Amino acid sequence: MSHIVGIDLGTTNSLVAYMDGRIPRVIVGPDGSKLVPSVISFEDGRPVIGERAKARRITRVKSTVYSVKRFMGKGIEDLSSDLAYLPFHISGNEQEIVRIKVAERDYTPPELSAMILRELKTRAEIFFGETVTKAVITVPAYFNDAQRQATKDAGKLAGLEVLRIVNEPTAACLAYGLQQRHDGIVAVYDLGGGTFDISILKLKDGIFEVLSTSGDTMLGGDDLDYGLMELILNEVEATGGQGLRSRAEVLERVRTAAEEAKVALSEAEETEIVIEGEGLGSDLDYRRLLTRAEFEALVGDLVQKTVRPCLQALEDARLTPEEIDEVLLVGCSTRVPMVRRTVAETFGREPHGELNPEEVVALGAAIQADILAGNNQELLLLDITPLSLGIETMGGVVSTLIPRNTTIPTRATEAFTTFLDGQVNVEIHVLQGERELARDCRSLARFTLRGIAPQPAGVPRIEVTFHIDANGILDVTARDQRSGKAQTIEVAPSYGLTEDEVERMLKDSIEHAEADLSTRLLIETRSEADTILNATARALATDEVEIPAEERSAIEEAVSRLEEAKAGLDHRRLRDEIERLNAATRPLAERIMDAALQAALKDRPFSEILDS
Amino acid sequence: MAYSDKVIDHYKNPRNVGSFSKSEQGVGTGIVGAPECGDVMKLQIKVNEKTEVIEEARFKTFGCGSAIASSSLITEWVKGKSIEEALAIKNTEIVSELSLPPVKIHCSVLAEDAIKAAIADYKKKTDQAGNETHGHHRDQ
Amino acid sequence: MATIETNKHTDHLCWSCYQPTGGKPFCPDCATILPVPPQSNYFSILGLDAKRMSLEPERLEEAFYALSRQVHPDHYQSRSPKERQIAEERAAVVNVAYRTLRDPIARTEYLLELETSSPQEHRDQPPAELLSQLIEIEEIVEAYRGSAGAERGALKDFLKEVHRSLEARREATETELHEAFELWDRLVAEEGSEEAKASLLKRLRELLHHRSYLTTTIRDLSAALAGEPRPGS
Repeated sequence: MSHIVGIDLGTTNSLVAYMDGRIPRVIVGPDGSKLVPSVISFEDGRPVIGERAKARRITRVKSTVYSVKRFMGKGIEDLSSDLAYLPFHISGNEQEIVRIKVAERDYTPPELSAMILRELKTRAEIFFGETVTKAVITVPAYFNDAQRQATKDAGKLAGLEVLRIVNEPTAACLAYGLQQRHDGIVAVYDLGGGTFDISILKLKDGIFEVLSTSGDTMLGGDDLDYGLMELILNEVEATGGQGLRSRAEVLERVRTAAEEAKVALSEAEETEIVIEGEGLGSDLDYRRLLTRAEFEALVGDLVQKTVRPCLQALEDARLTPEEIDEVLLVGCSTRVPMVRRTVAETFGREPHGELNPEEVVALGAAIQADILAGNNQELLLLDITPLSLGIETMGGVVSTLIPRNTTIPTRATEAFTTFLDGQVNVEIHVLQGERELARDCRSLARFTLRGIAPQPAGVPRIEVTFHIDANGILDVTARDQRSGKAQTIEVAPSYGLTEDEVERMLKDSIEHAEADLSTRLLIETRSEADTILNATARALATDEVEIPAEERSAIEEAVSRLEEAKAGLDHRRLRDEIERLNAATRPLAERIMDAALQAALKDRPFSEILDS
Repeated sequence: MAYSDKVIDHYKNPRNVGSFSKSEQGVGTGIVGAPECGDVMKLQIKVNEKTEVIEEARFKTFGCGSAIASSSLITEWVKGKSIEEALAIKNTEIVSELSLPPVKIHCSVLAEDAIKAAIADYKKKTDQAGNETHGHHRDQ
Repeated sequence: MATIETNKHTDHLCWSCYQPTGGKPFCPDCATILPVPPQSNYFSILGLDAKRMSLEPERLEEAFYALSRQVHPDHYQSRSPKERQIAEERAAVVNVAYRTLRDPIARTEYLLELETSSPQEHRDQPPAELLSQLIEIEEIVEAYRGSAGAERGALKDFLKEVHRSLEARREATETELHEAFELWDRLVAEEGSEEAKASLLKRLRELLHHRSYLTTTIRDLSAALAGEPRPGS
């Protein structure tokens, strides 16, 4: 059976994991690293992803994009806090999917995420030596329907069948549960690069029942960086720096410096921030000592913002902090000491610190993939929908059909009626969120049920049914009981791609077909490279023929170039290097053949040799 | 479509929210509830005791507030109607192409129930008043 | 009674091997997962005694976990689309059944739904006295929102007291509800008269309604005392 991989598609870093028997493992890439920075940069029109793209953030600002996850399923009106600090050009009308301009072309967030997913897919394919088409992808638990759909679309665009969208804290808890194997109540505090989740789970005999979840999909390490960026920008401006905020390169340098300082302060009590004047378009370097206390004063409010969702999740689970048996920390931002302290204060205990907060989500995704593959009947995840779902009723009030924290899959039906006499159309406006008024909730979809049998107001019965599948994705049906007229939509969210758009993108994407082909070529070429490298190693070790120093060094250079090419993902370059090594070793190979032939001739009659 | 415009307007700007003093002459008060979502509504009418015409109406709802639009519309509608007409709230035969959000079933009846209760209260009050004045009959 | 009838319709033959199923989640013959029979109810779905109202949360959870292991779509990913769809539906029903029955209020609503053919037939007289009291309290809450100075302080103290007493009344309805559950279970076990059942159901309905009205006012009161706007406005 083909492999199903587990993917953690993160704001900052992404990972792909698999099950090695009963043990989940993160796949190490050709570069020796487990983390793929979620950065995309265009080089001659082709996307490069990961470390190489990250290195281009400053040098190729206009061709490079990152933190795409924050834009998934969002409209331009949701992004005000990011726009000030991100060097991208973002466009889009209200209630419409946003587009990000990179290398002079507009991309939707799912298209960009798909490029990261494709990179992960390729990594896995190289690792397994075969194609990978199925995946479990994780999302923040507090992602709404639009954000989940966008993630699914990204998977599809990357040529992956997304078997399941799993909530990140739940995945983390699976990995923890597999390792620890004891029952109890676990709180998972997940502060990533761009999102915050808190989930409370009950573990019992292999069942992982999510009791409640809460969070903020616009709160993460990026926001801590913004706080620090604001300080730096203000200080540079105070010394006469002008027009900094509109210059992408400057923002990028400031951002990098802020990020580095934040990371440094997780270990050290103080750190020096240095930005060369050149990067700021100034004669003066920016230089400043930042203490941890100063940093904490800057970001304290942001960290404090995670407390309320924690209390809400406890209340929804009808639990007190004392009833929590273990608190897990997940996500890169939980390395910040102030975050750890806040968690300890909120839950009245030290959090569990043995997990690698950056890998645990991907590991959990791999476990869930294994469950879906039918390899594990012991474990079962009972996940929930994080946000209430309902429709707008007359008066602008939301009528909830499925309350938050309902175990999925689930279904709910409620009967409604008309407002006017003879009303033949009813507008169904599907909403997600906890507020009472429609205008304060997230609009997921709108459709009109037409052809209702005309009757006095209040008489018709219009049945509205919500169904949420195991992925947390919703479809809605409205049906007039009398006329039997019904309309169903799989909620294609206001901020998402329509199915047609996804199909078109798939077709349009010649790159996609090419990427698949190049993956296959890469896999084949790599194995060819291995064969020739092995043969060369044997040839160089031989004592049957002499190898002049010059020839040896030429071969050794070709070997090291080929090894380097093998670590990369470019099959064309790999092919060229194979040819180069072939050429370099040809005289040697011929001499060895000759020597072998002569040796054979020496000991055996000529006729025998001819026969063999 | 004037009718539709009016509906939309009531939906956006509910009218006649408030109350009269219960003891005021000619005021009938109806208090009803929708237990499904805990809605409580008070609807009052002020009746001209000579003509038995409803001169004004006021309402207040507590709870989910879904009934506000229909209450606003119905209080507007009963103004100028005799209490007999108001009791016979009848469905006009307008086929409306207007696409509006749906209504919770129990909300759709709340305002109507409230009008009926207010009229019943008014009648009870005037009957009592009649009895207290020793069977004095009102002029027709 | 909404229980499962066997062998009456094709619904109760296995869709895969056409053997009678006896309303079980899996075909006794070929072990294929079966759709939820149309006549079943949440009690039967969770394998509980019909309409038993006093339920132990631990037992309920056990039943829920055991069923989830059997029907959750995660374990059907590699099966046929039809089996996968049935598992999705069954798991959804199991989830809704558990959610409904574990909560005493939702459980009562569900019992009333099962026992009452049409909700319209049972439009009870509103509890006039309670509603008038609540309207009066709501009007004081409005006055409090618009008040200032010494008046505000006095109103606040008064409303706090009202808040406490309403909470106590709501708690009392919950205690009564649990007492009524025991009565109900006894009536069902001893096959009590229909009249006795009907009057107990009426009592249950009243308790739910009172609780629902009290909740609205308690919510408005809490918001006002916390200085938050009226919910929903």
